[in-house]
Amino acid sequence: MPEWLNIPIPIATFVLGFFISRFTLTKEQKAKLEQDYFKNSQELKDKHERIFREYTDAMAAYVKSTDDQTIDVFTSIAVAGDRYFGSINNLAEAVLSKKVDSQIAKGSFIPTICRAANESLPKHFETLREIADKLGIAYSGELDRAEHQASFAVLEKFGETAGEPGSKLAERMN
Amino acid sequence: MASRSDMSIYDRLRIKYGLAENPTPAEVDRWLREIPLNQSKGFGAEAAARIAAAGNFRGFETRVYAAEADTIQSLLDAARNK
Repeated sequence: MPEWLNIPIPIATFVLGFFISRFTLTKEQKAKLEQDYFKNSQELKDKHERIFREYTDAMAAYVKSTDDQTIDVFTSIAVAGDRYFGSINNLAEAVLSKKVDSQIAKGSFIPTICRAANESLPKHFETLREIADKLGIAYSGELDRAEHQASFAVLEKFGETAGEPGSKLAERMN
Repeated sequence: MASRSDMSIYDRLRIKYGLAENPTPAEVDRWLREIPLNQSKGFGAEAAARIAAAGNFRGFETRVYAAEADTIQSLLDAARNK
């Protein structure tokens, strides 16, 4: 080794070591990050479950409503539905930014998002329009893909591996 | 493994964690052994069990969530046909 390398090599090694330690994670840091993602996934999931229940409760209330309540209860489906599909879009954003546990994303978030974007969302608006017509009330709700951008991005990216269209989803997940 | 008519630990785990199939006794053993390890890392009992389930059971949380769209669609149909 030529003598003039005696100084640059240790310097380069030091600089390289410094940057590698800055940009890679130790085992503990990695474990901590995985824990955070898992916790984050659970929180998202719990919140989403509550919103899902509100939406299904609103639909069930409509089905059971008496004639004089029908129109009010109809409005609550529209509102709860917006919240539900908004929550689906949140899950999709979390999946796309990879801030969730990959196993939970694959096993539960992605299939849920794909089916919501592909099946439930169009059906939600279609049904509301139909009911509004029947009740003779003005309803201008329309599916705006821009509002559900992340959900559709997940559907496009993972839809095929998640086994969409929906009816085949369950078998393919096995 | 228990028969279908009584709710065994296997059935209950399948439902609780939304598994595609009942877990095998070997998987349940591994799950049980992993829970205290997760607790020692600072997770509460429920979270420790859930993490162990995610790692040891096949098809973790595929069923409950796949059913979300089915519930919505059947309720929308019921509302439409009211």
